[in-house]
Amino acid sequence: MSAAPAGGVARGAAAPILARSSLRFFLRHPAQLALSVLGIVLGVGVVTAVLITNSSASRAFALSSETLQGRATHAITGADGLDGARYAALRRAWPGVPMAPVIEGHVALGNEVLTLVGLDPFAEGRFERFGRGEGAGGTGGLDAALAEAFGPSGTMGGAADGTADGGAPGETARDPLSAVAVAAATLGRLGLELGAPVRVRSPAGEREIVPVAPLESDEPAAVEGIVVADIALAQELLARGTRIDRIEIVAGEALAARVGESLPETLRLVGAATRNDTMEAMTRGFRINLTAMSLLALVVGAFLIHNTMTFAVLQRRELFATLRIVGVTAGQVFASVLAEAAAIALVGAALGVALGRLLAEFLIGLTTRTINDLYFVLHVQEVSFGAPLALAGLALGTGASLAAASIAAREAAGINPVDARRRSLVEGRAAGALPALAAAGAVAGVVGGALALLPVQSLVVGFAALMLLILGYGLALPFAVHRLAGALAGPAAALGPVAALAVGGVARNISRTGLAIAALAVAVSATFGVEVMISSFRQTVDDWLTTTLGSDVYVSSPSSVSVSSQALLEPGVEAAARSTPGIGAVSTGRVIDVATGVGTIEALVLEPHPDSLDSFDLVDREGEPLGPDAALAAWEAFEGDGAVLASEPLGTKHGLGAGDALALFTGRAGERDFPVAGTFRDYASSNGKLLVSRATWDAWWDDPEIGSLGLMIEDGADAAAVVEDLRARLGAVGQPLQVQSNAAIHDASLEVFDRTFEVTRVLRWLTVGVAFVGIFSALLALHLERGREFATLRATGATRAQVGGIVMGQTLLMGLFAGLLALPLGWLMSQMLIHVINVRSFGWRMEAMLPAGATASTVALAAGSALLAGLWPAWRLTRADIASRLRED
Amino acid sequence: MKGSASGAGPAGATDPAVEVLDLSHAFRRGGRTETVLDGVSLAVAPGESVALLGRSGSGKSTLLNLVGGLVPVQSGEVRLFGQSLAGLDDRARTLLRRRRIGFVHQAFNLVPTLSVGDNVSLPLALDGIGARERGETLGTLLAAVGLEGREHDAPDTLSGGEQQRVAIARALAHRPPLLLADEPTGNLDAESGRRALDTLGGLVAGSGSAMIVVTHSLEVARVADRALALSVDGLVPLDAAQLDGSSAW
Repeated sequence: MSAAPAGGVARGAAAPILARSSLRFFLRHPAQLALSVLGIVLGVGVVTAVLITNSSASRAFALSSETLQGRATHAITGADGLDGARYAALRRAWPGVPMAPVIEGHVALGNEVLTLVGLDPFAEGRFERFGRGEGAGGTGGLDAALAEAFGPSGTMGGAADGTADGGAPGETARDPLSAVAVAAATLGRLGLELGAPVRVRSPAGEREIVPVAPLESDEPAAVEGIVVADIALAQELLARGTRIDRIEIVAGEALAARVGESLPETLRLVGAATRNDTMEAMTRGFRINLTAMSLLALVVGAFLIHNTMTFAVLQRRELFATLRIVGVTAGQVFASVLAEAAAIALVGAALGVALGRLLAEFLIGLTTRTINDLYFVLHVQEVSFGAPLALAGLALGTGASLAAASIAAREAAGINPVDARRRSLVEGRAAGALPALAAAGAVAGVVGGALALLPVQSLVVGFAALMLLILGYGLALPFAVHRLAGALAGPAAALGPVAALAVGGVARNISRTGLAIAALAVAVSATFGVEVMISSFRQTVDDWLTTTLGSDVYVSSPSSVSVSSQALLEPGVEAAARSTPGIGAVSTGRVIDVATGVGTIEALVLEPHPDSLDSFDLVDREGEPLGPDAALAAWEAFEGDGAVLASEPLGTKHGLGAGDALALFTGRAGERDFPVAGTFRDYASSNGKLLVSRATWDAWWDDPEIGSLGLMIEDGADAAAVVEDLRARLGAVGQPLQVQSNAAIHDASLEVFDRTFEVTRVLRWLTVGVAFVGIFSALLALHLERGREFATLRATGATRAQVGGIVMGQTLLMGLFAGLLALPLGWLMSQMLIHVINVRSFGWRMEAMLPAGATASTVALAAGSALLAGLWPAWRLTRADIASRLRED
Repeated sequence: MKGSASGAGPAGATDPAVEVLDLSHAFRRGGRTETVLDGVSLAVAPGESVALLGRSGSGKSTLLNLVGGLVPVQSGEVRLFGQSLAGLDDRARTLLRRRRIGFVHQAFNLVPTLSVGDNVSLPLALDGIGARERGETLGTLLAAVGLEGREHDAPDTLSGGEQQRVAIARALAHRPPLLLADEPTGNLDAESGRRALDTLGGLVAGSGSAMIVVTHSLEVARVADRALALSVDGLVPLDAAQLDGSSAW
């Protein structure tokens, strides 16, 4: 029997009749209809929520960047910003080129992290940052705020270059060293009042600032969380001395190129877009993973839609046969089933999009926190949702539904009118097709495995491999179920008729049970696989933290934000620590962003103590630990030969390893190639990290600052007393400092880790929700379809308890099969996630480990879901009117 | 429908196999209450067979379902072997059915996913009878209904007549003292119907079971010891002349 012609729609007068037939069927089975719709609603809801979340985060970042960038076309910067004096020199050298100094950082107000932007109001005229606000008679929003904040002439406390040419002193009632403009929406949200001082935590310690003007913008979301200050105040708050981050210019490409050529080699000119691209690239892996997790929910959803539609077709085999007998073509049957799937899918997808919009509010909070933990400070106050995203959700939902339903539609079209009533033939054919399906599944699995092993870094190929694996396993699963149920039939018969009927029913109804078990197994395996991945990852990070925190105590300046601290220690801190009795070896560290040939990378400038080097696991390009000789050679190159070490994610992403060279933009000589001595394991940053020895740093950068100390407590010393003494001595220096044991940092890091995966866990449970709806729908259809069969049993003398026992026993068995068969697939999925997806997304390699109790909880989840889902059908069947069921035709 | 009918069973019978006293039953349909049985009484002696005839919708099948405990009694009383169904909960009625009643339906109602043998053995398995005894009974019954060697076949591979003979074998597998048959030949052609009827009549006679058979067919009714017509006048005995007539019910 052939399927419908391409794009076939039930033609002519038959179409409305077939449509009414479909409608009546679903109206007579409202629960089935509701569950079909619900499965799609949840699947589409999860995907749409993630799409909205990703879009909102990207848009918030883009808006914020664009609004801050204004009309700036390029930026001039050095290895670590540049000194303010450069600004004055450049302005004198290029009087016709609009230039403005910029400094950016973060301050914290309570739990809120605010982005502090330091600007020079005199230089801002041509930049038009923050769009056009409503104030100041239609001039730029910044102009209005600056005029309000710093007086009509924009008088400020000092210019970025530290000279007095920032402008003539003007009259102002404001204190230029504390006045700031705050985004209007932020003022309202945080309940700040203009003119009322507030205390903020900044890299320079606790300081008082006074919001004196609202910062208006055409796009309120773009300035959310932004505080604009005079550049001198920003320098002070951010403890930058006279340094600035960059000088932005407005110039065409030719003029900009001339400016670039005139710069000394220690300065460079970058396009304004480069910065955005870097930030986008940083979060790319994270966003792709989030999308992949949501697609997994959709795949599970699609599997369940296939399940639902197949049941809807199976239940109407005789109806379709009758239609075929009276002259309805196979194509019309195909189109009719597809049309009803499309109608269900459209309703489900539309509701799913609405659910996704609601769910996004919650996911955005979780995601923003993760981005702030791992990457950079991001304020997402506006949900980005419009027609394109709604259409994407609708298209994904209906597309997946139609693809899934087309299989069922083909089956409906292929029904032989003569054989349709012969259930044994249907089951016999289904059982007969199982080996071929299993073989097809094996082929899909092998192709998936081969794709996973391909030596490419493509994440898309990785996910394709994962999907093929799931598909292959799903196809092979009913064969395994049939065999297992067959093997259990003998022992079950010994347990009595209820057990025999329950177990026998699984194999005898394999066309239905195989499908339902496969759907549940796929869904549960996803939760198991993700659990194994997260647990393996957590264990690896736990072990790594134990190794990497090689010092007993760490001293650093408290970070005002949760992104990695680049705050500096004042000069007296190191001396105070070294002079503390009981303190042995001391290492120093400095975290700083360095421009490299592969983008801006965070570097740790390390002056190690003898134990420091043991905290780094050196690995080769495949992630295998280096032998002692190779490791020694790498450390010698690092310490003596000016080589750098790349973190594993950096090495994996850019193919860097021992023997390669990496261009770094140095403070003393501009761009220069540095040999890479090797790679080290690192789970702190998926963007990559460089390890640079202090000696190498000092040779090429004019920046002696340090940001942290690693201290060893001498053997035999009273650790508590030493730390107490240390705190007292550091207190005398005057800088607010945090002194943390390695255990405290270890725990805090794992807390961040757990927060990072909260969103993954949420998505996982949503997937379980989709799966539960699916199994409930499948069991309801499966058991209620057999209503007459159970009525016959009741008439023959089976008690309600026995019928309930048969239904629940069969349901439990199906759940157990699904749970047990989910384990191998889940494990394979975890291996793919760990060894393929994670490596390609983040560059992190880890050992897979099976968390205690995970297998038992997975089987319990499947069995529990099935039992729960079986309660309602069991109740219905035991309470059914036997007489009327027996007379049903 | 009002009426009562009682008959003399074989000599020596004590409690009637079936005793229906002033039984009434109504259905709610579309907001209306429709009475299908109104004060019907009937007694069937052990070993006696009774045919119930009547037009469609006269309440024959409802009466059968009430006697079989498939439908709870609303008004009146049904006694089986002296035991009132009114005092029995669902479980007790089910056990009574399992041990003392066999059912034969017009639509056969074989479990499609069980083999012929499993279908016939089902009442015995439900009653905890061991595999060996079940096997012996199965062999005897399949031989009796002319389906030897077909125990592994799927029901839907059999003809309609064969399926009904499987249903008859299943109904008698546990040797019930009461057999309730609802249009046992209604779905069969004349030849298959006759053969099924012969099988049914022979096995019931041999087992000593009482039987109530609901039918439209005078041919089926003639197999019974007596025939009753359910009509607006209640249960009315039909005499031999009426049974020999050509009027269809």
